[in-house]
Amino acid sequence: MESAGPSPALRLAWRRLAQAPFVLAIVVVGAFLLLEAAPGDAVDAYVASLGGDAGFVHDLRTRWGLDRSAPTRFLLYLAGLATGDFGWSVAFGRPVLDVILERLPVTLALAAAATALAFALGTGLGILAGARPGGPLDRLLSALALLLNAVPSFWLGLLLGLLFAVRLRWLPLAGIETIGVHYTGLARLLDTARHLVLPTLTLGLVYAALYLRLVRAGMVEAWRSDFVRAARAKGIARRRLVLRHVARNALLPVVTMLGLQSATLIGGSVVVESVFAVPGLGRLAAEAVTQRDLPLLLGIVIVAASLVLIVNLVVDLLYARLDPRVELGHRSP
Amino acid sequence: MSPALARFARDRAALVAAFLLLGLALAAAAAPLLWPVDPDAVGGPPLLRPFLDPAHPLGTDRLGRDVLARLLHGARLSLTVAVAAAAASSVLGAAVGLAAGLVGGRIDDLLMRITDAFQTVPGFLLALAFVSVFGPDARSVVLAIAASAWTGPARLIRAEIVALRGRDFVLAAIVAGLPRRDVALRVLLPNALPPVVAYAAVSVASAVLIEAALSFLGLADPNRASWGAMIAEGRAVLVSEPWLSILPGLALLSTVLAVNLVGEGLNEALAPRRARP
Amino acid sequence: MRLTRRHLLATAASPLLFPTFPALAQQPRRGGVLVVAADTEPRNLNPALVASNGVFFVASKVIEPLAEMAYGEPGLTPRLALAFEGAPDGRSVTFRLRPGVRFHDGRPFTSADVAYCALELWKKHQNLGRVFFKDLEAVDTPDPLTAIFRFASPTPLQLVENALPALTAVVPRHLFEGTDPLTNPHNQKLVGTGPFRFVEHRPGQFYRLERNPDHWDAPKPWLDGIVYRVLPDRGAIAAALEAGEIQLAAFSAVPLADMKRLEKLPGIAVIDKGYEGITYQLTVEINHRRKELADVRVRRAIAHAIDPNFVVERIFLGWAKPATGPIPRFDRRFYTADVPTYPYDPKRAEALLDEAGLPRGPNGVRFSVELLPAPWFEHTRQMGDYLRQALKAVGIEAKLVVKDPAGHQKAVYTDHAFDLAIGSPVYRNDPAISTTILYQGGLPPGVPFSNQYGYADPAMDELIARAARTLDPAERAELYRRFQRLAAEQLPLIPVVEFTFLTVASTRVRGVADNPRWATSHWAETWLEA
Repeated sequence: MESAGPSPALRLAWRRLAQAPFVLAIVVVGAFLLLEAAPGDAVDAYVASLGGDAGFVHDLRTRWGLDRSAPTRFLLYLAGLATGDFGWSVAFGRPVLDVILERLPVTLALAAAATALAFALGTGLGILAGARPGGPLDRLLSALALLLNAVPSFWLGLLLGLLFAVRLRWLPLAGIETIGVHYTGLARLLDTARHLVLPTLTLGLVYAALYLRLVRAGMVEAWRSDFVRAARAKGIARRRLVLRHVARNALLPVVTMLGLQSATLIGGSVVVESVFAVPGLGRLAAEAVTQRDLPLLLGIVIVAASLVLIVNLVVDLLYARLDPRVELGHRSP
Repeated sequence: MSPALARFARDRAALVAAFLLLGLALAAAAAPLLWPVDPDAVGGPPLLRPFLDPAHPLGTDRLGRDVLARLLHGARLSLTVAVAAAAASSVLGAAVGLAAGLVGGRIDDLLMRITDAFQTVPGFLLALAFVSVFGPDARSVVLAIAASAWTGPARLIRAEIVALRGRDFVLAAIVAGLPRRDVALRVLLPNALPPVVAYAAVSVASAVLIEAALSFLGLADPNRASWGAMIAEGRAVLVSEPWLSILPGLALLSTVLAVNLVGEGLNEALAPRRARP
Repeated sequence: MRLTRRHLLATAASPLLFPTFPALAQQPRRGGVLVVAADTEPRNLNPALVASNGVFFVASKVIEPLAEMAYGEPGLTPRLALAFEGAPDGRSVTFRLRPGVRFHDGRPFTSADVAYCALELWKKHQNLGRVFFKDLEAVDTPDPLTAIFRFASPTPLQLVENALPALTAVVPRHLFEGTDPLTNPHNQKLVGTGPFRFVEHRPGQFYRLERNPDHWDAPKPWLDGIVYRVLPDRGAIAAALEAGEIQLAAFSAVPLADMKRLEKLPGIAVIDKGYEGITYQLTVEINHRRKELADVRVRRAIAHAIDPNFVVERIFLGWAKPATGPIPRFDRRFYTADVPTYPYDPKRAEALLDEAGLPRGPNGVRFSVELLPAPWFEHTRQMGDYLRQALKAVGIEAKLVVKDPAGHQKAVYTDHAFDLAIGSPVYRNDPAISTTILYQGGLPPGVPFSNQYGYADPAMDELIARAARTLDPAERAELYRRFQRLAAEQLPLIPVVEFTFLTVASTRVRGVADNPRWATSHWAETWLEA
């Protein structure tokens, strides 16, 4: 590639940004159709919890606008969306955006903590393993990674909870803060952090295993490259070689993977949030489906998809920054 | 022996895993012969611990159902659902990828945007919504997993096709006047397929996990024993009777591990790394 | 009929009702915040609009009804009403209200609030009140402390009395009048007269209530506050209780299987009282549109195929009783054991099925059904697993179909797309409130928890209608005994067991279960030991 003009990676990033609205539109239509196809509507979900007579059911349906046809409701929803109105959540009796914004920070904190843990642990141990491929440490770490990669996260969460919260009582089992005690400032932050340890471990360890394997594989490949061979022949110290050259190259795929895994991470948090009673977006989405709360589900899907798009954009830009020579999109020969 | 098979056989871990998986599949298939106990029969003493009663070697659950029988029948569900889901997602993905790669232009653009859209929505969330809406029977679980997992193979096969299109032997076939359809199905597809097959093996592992997670969240077919549901039921007595959750978890863990190892072996065997220097 | 006398009686009787708390004579201590587990967060928390146990669990501490249930013969204690009297013609009931009561915002509580709630909220919008108060024409308020309810047709005083605890929560008129009641913000930010004031709700996390220092029953309440911690998972609730993060879990929020273990732990008590007034049943609902099931012999065969003792012992671990009919034993005013019964007897079941012309086929199957266990409780789902096996034993093949609440609601009560279903109706202190509707014919589809079974019997309908307008309590009770006999004979649905819930609490929590709907009542008398 010539040095003139933006790098291919950067161009790719901009192209993705331009495509984002189309992608979002498809997502919104898909989510709407899915819930439209569901048996029973929000009123059925509501009266299932408390009963009521025929008039009651009819009134609710009129009140919630569910007597209108599906296309009408969808158009009304889109019209609202155009003015920034995400609609009204019938399940919570509040504006959708309020409900989502309440839960979003929790999921973001959990996802960020899990990613940080996975990245630090995964790359750190990956470098250790890849420093001497085939060595005893490599064998041990690789086996561990294989195992962690195969663990069902909800099961891991249950066992971690059983051990650290129920048996040892080192950590709280559920929720995100100690209820009834009103901490402020730093104390509150620490309290929340303590509550997030187990969910973060549960969510993060699986990805740590993934990154470990990725970094190790990259390093194994790097050791074979001509450049590193030449450097070794020149007698450059192994430790320096590992950190300066071999590991550095191996980190690039991890950055790509961070972007690719962002959607999976949100999906995984559904399970983890339910195991540890974390009031996040994932659990909210599951609730929206059970309550047939269409505007809420659409809102969540839009927010989640936007997040994923943003993360991918950031990753693209980061990639362009880290290695402008790499051409994305055509990695296979 | 084909070179791919030979390469696979040299990978000791993959070979061991393949035998383990084969054993598990056989045990699942022959469950009624191996351990002829009705997994749903509620007759036994409740909450019996493992290794105490030869009539129930792995104990019983709250309703007195035999844990061993439920584990074996759970293996059936888990494996059939996972294999079917992986097959469905591969076929769907391959079809989309093939269409996009071959036709190109606007169709390619549209198909890729749809793929993007699906990749933007958290796959598990999609599967969860799908199964809650259409009911937790095996078929809708398979469809749900396929709906959330077809994008991988689609991208993979499209990239392969795009890369292959410029290769000499493909150009040669086109120049030789082979009909378009034949170029697509007889030249391009077979060459683009190996990585998809390797990918399918890995997606079996993730399908096992998704099925288990859905069952764990209460979306299990109530007519069949399932590992995820067993863990969820055991969760109620996790503190007093932890083995009720631990046993099915171990079954899941070893299955996924074995599938992963076999998948890696296949990956190495079918799509060996670029020629080494 | 004066509540004041009853109140004395109820208080005298109560010490007998606390077997788990021998040190009742101990002086209650003021102070302390009680942390309890909540497993749902109702979207509308206003009990004047939504009469459901999930709402009452939180809201009954903030918003009070006219009267509350009590143990012992009188059956009621006064809350916002001190006494009431019915006219001989059954067309009016006069309530004398408690003087000197103020809402949490400082405004006085008067008969105008009661009149507004009755006509605008209970009658027009409340899920139970819409049926119950449909004949309520007017509420006269001759003075601030008198409210006279006028009915278009004779309404038994006994029924009105029985409806008071669940249907008559009073919210301030000045906050609701002129607004759309269903979207009023005070359906979330509750304002009432109760012993506790609503402070905040953080969705997904907690509700917080604080002591109302100006409560009419001062020095009660004893607690400084109540926090409801939202913990949707039952396993997590047990662990949180054990770890001391919460002090009380009501409504069997802890899995029954874990109860046995918790019971043995020091400092934790399992209390099986305080829910009698909201007794649930586990029922097999039957679609009579299916020709095999329209035959009473087949329905009786199904009843004979079920072992209620297995259900009691395995599914409820002993915390339930076999049911004989639609009215639970606890309500001695109406209950009768003198009904046809169908003891567990698979041979008899098979004989009945043969007699009905449904022999076993070559594969041993007589006929197949779709069985929909309701998703509300773990018991309903487990009952589904059990019933499938029990039916298999007598040659009926059942396929389980599980749906989420919305799907189940629509399949059973609107589309009638089921053969058998497992339901869990609640008995609310009078057969006319939520029980006879399960047997009454001719209801339109879409009415939840009603007879959507395709069952209609003129004798049954006539009996239900007569009992609903019979003024004499003894005569009315006799009609309901006949109702139970007819229900057991025709067996349109099969009540299998009746069950109440359990409370698990730290032994430091005192004043628990002191009335038959304690979990959904005021908790003014609950306190924490130092």
